[in-house]
Amino acid sequence: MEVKSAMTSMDPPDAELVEKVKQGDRHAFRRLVERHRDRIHRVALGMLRNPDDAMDVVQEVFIRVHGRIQEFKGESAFGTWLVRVTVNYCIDRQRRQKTWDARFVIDNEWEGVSEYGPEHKLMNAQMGEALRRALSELGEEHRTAIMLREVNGLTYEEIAEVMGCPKGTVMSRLHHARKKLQLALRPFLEEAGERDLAGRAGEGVRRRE
Amino acid sequence: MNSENNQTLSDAEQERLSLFLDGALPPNEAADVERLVAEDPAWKSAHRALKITGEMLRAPVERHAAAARFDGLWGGIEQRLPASEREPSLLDRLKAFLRPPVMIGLAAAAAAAAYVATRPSTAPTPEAPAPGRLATHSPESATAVAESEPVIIEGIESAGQKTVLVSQPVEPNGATVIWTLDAPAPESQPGSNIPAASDDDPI
Repeated sequence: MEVKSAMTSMDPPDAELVEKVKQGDRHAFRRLVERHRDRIHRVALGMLRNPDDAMDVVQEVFIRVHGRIQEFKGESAFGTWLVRVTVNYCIDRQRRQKTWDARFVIDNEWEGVSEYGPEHKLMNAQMGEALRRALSELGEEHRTAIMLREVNGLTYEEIAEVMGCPKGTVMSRLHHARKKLQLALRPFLEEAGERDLAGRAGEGVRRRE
Repeated sequence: MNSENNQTLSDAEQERLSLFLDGALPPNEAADVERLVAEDPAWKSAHRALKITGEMLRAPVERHAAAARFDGLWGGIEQRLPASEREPSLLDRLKAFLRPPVMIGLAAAAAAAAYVATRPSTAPTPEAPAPGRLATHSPESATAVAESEPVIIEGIESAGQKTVLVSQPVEPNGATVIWTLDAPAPESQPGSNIPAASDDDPI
């Protein structure tokens, strides 16, 4: 997993900092915040798809974690526990709002998949809308699993730990989610494939216009 | 394997492709899927769709994550932390830095320094202390040491081993001898190593 971290070889490990936080060391907590804030922010962005909400979540998660730090017994990695807290917090938030799909922000600045490029903005927007709809139709657990895997790069084992389920269940959820999302995008991809063929014959963009 | 007409994979094939994308297939099976993706239109199409799906999910996150600024984050968090919580004191930081082995070494060095400071500058005399006794170079100072109460300044515990540092003022020159005393390890409590029933529960 690609985890941005400010940790150097001189930095104390998480477990040591956690013990200090348990003794009331605020300085140690600040170091944990600075070490893990990027990761938590990315998880929240993946779960909520809203930059403002994601930044709120980072702050709320760390305050929650600080308040419950005595309950952390070190049976999992601190980073994994943090992701777990973040996921649960995001799910709670989504349930309260009951409008997950409305909160989904289509990325208007997205320039499209690399193989098509920015000239296909209309299709990119349509694909984005199709993906948004498919994601909103996925169950909460399937959506969480695919986000943790595709966006945050967690392994099956890490996702299982975060979601509190067996590894086999994670694999099944990922398969199910991918199948649904792929079906949603398929018409656009097939159309794009045809257009690519037509484009080679000199009719590509003009035919669409 | 698949239907060339409708260009779709079976459920089992989709699952295999999903495992392939996650790098979860054994090398021989992965090579097989790689060949199918290269040669079979249905596999190629499904593979492309999954790759694009992943890219679409990641793209906005990557962009917003790269632009994120956390300037006010700690300030916002700190405001909401309990007011009673304190910044670590100088002693706390010193203790964190000076682990028990370092402290014992430091105490030994301090004791040696104190001994040197209180030792007579001339050659040893018949009044020199017996081996194992420190800092009594005259009957007067020995009396003074015996009359001054030792002061415990620190207790350290590491891996069940307790060490107590004791400072002992030596009059009249004001030098101090520091002693380290190892206390016996406490009896372990039956069942004390049984892990708690609950795991690190999410909040």
